[in-house]
Amino acid sequence: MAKTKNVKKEMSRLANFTKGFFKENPVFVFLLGLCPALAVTGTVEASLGMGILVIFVLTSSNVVVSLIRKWIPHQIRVPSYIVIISTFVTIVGLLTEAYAYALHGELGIFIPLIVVNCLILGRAESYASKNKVHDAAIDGFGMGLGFLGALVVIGFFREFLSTGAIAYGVYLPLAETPGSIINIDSYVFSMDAFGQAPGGFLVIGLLLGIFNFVAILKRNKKERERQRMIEEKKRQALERKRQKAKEKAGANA
Amino acid sequence: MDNLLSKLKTAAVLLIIGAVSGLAIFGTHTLTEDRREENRRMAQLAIYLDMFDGAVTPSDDDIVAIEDSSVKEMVTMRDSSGNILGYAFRGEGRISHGDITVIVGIDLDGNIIDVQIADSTQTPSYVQALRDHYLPRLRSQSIVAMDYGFTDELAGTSASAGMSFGNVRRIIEDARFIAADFLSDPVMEAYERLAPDVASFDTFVVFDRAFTEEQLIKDDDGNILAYAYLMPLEFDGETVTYVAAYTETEFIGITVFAFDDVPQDAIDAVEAFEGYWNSDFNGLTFDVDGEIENTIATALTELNTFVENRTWINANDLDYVETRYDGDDVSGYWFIGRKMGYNGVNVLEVLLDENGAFDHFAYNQSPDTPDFRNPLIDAFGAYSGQTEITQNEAEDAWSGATFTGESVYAIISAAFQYFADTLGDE
Repeated sequence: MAKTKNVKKEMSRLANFTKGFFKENPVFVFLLGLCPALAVTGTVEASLGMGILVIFVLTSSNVVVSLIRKWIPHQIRVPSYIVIISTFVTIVGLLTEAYAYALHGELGIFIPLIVVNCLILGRAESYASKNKVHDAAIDGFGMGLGFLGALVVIGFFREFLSTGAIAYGVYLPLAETPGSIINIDSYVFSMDAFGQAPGGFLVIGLLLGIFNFVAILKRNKKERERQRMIEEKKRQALERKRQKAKEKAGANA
Repeated sequence: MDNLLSKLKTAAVLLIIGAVSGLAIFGTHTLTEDRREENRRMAQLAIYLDMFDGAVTPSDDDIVAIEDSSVKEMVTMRDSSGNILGYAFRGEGRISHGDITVIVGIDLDGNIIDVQIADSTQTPSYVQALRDHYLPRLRSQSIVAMDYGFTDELAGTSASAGMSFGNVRRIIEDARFIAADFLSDPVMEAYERLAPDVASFDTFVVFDRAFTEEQLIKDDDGNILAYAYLMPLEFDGETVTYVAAYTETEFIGITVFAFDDVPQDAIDAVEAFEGYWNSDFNGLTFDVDGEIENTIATALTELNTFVENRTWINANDLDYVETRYDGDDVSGYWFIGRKMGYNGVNVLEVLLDENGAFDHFAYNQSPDTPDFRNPLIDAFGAYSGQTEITQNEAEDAWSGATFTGESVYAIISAAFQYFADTLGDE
């Protein structure tokens, strides 16, 4: 019995960790944190950088909010969360300036603006303030990874469509000299607009459209499956009824 | 009592959160301070070295801190042999949108090598607009005759990018002022020969004639000492800029911007005009010998004719009117006027024919958005041949051009009025 409970708990934690990846993805499902998703996803590396910063802030603030959740009076909870979040944002800003200066220059004003990312305040208010520290940490880390994943996907399309290449080592200390994992030298369809803000809207819109289309297909498939099962159960019930009627008729005979 | 305790608890929680938060930020700030400063210095150094070809890392002796100025640091850039290549100025600006750090490179000839934004917390899209559209225009300009040319070509950037550009401009102005102590200044030296008390000069009107620009020469108190006219002339493929100055009644004289690459005979040629200095410009003709001297005399005669035919108005938004002739007959009147538009002062040219009918107007200088202001040329063109104008749809021919349109309307109306009051009776 105890073993079953532990397995259930582990399953629940795994679900808590992975829910932000697809099912409750902050960008593509809840449409949260769209400001950085539009502003800094011109390249994969900038997207990755912003994602890492958000993971740090989201996980740390979730942990602290959960730790002191019982001491914070209800009426001052939101200002308290904002102070906690802004503290981590300031720290992350200083650390970025110290250890990833190029990324700091690239993200610029959007680092302090992490404070107003709805995702972070939303998780503090809706999850961390009501759950234990380790669950809050898992939630923050998982949601942060989902956010990072969404940014990187957007960044991939935008950078590739605007330059025909995917570079690395430009903003993050990933290599001693910058390089590229994809580079189509003869790329002639460079669409600069995708590197600009309008490109962000276009890519997010197209990706949302694709994800919604896939979700609708899945839902329709599920619905067809459900209908098929209902029909099958109806058929089986009818079959049983007929069988019983036959048996009854045989007995009477 | 419970209520008081509850409030005390609330205050204590906020206090503790604030204190811990402050300590955490202070600790991180202190621990990373040196590294952040080092990063900033390295980024600035990279810009310095990128600006000056062949430059080596400056020594501490070459870096001078500046006080009481938007420029905070002046760096003497040298090559590996120790020869000075130029000067880099690091300036800082602040507006409500954030801070900006700008680096200005100036070579030994007094030309801007480049202006770069090293660091900024101001609105990124506006800073990017400056980087892409405005700063490149400053390259290669002489610091003694800067043309900033900021217009809000990107709709909506008038106020915001304009404020960021204001920071950049202030830093460049301060850098120019400091650099003037180190560099020879052929333009200011030329103006001093014409007006010894000169302290500043501003572009007033631009022309597409033998003379290209009219500048107001001012003293320390801002009083106008003279009107200077730039005359760029070509000799053997080289452009030499001569400058002639006038008061409202006299021809003061002519001199030359004696930059290092100006041939000596082009400089010496102005000596042939010394006899004409400080004379009444009415009926003045220049009788000189020599090819260069005659080329100068031709341009100067065209300028003198303009000055003779020009009447100062200085009222009702109008600066002056030039009476134009076809032989001995009047062919038209060319007015210069200026009035505040949407993004600054619009300087307009209005041409009336000999009967005072509207011919056309043109922007002499305008900081307003080109896409908004230019349709007004066609809109007001509908009044061609008319002797009066009514303020109606033409003033707002393009959405957002209201102020621009009103400035055009005001100046054309003033030109009609001046013609009716003064010129029509002549």
